[in-house]
Amino acid sequence: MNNKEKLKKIIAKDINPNDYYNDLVKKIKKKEINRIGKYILIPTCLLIFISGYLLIKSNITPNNNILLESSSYNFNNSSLKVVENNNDLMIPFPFKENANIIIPTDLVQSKTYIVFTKDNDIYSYILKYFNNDKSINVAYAKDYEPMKEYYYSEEVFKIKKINNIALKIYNDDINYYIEFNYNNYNFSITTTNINEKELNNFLKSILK
Amino acid sequence: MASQINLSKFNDIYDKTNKDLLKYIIIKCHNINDTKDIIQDTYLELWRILNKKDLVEDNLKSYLIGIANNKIKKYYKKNWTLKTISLFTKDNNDLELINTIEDKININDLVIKQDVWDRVWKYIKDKKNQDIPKVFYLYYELDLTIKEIANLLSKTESYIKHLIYRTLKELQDNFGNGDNYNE
Repeated sequence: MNNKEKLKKIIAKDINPNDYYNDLVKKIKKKEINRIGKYILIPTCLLIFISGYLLIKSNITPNNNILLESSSYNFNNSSLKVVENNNDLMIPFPFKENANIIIPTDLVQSKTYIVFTKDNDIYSYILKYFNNDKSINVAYAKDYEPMKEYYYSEEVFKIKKINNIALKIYNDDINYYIEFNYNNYNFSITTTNINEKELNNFLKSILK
Repeated sequence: MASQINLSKFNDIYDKTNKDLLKYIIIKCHNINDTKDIIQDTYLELWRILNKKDLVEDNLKSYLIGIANNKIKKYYKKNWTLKTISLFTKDNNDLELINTIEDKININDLVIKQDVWDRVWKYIKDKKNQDIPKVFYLYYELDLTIKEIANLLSKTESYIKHLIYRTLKELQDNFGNGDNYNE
C-alpha cells in the first residue's frame, strides 16, 4: 500500500458516513422514544394536575352550620338559629368606635342577623352588605368561633397582615374567606364577587 | 408507535445523498471536525420533515443542501469562536515558500512510518488554516483535481497547490525520517 492509499484509508476511517449514519439512527430512535414518552407523560401530568385541582376544590365539606342559599337567613338548624334582626335588638359594633367602614358603593343593601343557640342564647352576629350578585358577610362572636358558611382545611389559608393584625385568607374563583381576631372578637368574613382592591379597602377600614 | 417514514426508506435516502452532502458540508464548514455534527443535524431535520410531509425524490438533494446551509449558519452562530485566518502567516514566510517549494513533491515519496498516519491526519486536521484538511480530503479521498478543488473552494489553483505542497513538506519534516513531530 503506498502513502496515498494509507492516507486515504485513514481519512475514510475518520470521515465515515456509515458511522455517522449509525449514530444518526441511535439519535432518531431516542427521539422517537422521547416523543412517545411525551404523548404519555403530558396527558398523565395534566390528569394529575386536574385531579389535584379538583381535590383541593373538593375540600369544601359542609359542616352542620352551613346556611343554605336563601333570600333571608331565617333558617332553623339543629344547633343554631339565624334570625334577621329587624332592629329589635341592639347588636354590638365589633370595630373601633371611630372606624369609617369602606364598603363598595354598589353594595346598596345591608342586613344584620343574630345567631342563637338552641337554648336561645346569642351565639354570634352577622353583618351582611350586598346586592344581587355581590356580598360581604361579616360573622363575629366574642367567645366562640363565629358561624361560617364554609369549611376549608387550615393548610389552604395564607397569612396576611394588615396594620399588624394577622389574617388567615383563602380565595377561590369568586369568594374570599378571611378569619382573624380583632378588638376581642373572632371574625369570619366571606365575600362573593368582591375584587381584591375592594376587599383590601374594606379590611383596612375596619382594622384600624 | 411507528414513524410515518420508516428507517429503511430513510436509509435509502441517506445512501443516495450522503456523499454529495458530505462533500458540500466539508467545503462549507469552518472546521472539518464539525462535519459530523452538521451532517447529523441536517439528516435529523430531514427526518423530522419527512415525517410531516412528502418530498419529491428529485428535489431531495437540493432540499438537503438548503437544510445544510441553515444548519451550518446556526451551528457557527452558536459556536462562533473562529478568528479570520489569513492565507499567509503573520511573518509572511509563505511568500518565500511559494517560490522555493518544488511543486514536484509527491506524497508517495514521503518516508513515514506505518503507524504514524493517524497522527499525520490529525496534524492536518488541526491546522489553523482549515482549507488544508479540506483540500487534502478533496484531493486524496475524493480524487478531485486541483482545478476542481479550486472551483469548489473559490480559490486559485496556485493557492491549492501551495497548500498541498507546503503541507507535504511539513509532513516530511515532522513525520518522516524518524518522526520529529511532538504533539
